[in-house]
Amino acid sequence: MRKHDFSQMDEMQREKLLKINGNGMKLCALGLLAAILIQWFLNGDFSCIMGELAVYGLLTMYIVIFYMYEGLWGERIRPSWRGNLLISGIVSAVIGVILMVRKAAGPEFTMGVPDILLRMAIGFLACFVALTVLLFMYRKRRQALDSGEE
Amino acid sequence: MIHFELKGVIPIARNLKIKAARAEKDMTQKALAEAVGISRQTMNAIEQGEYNPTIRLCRAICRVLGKSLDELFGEEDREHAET
Repeated sequence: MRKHDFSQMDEMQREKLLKINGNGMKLCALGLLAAILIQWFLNGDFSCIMGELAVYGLLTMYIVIFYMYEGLWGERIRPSWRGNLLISGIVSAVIGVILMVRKAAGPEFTMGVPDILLRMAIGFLACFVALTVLLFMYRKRRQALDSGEE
Repeated sequence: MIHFELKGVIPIARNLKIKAARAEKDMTQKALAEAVGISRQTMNAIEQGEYNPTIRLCRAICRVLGKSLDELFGEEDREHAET
């Protein structure tokens, strides 16, 4: 409360502020991801989106590290193999759709269907392995946090 | 404002007990809000059942109004609370 801290807000205002900031962060993250995907779709060259990728990578790392530290998973996603499979499938599908659309858009895109499928499989595997490692870390951390002394 | 009920979550009822205790002490919402160090908007949201205060804030409100936690925030018959 105001008498005891330097905050100019009370608890409800602070809660609302956090909600607005959280939504703003989600909007920024989704906007940045959309910008990365659109630029990748238009140019197909990662060198022109290195800055965006670096920022997105840092943001993701920050979120993942603190989620793991606090023993948190997604708010609406259950920490499970099935969930990981689903997310990896979605990532793979997004990669496939972008590459297929680029292929359909013009002849300058020379990648064949087997190459596209290979990239989709690599995307799926990379995502699934990363999520599996995180799931293992999450369960270990959850166990450590829940087994503290009373 | 859109009101919806989350599965398994009991909606907060309007807190008429605070209003009554305030009237006993002849305090306005603004005066009570100032006494506990919150905004009038927050005090109003608590009375309207739109905001669920922390136990710390509940205790501060009880202290100012000279009531116990149970008297101001204690559970009551749900049917009665929603009227």
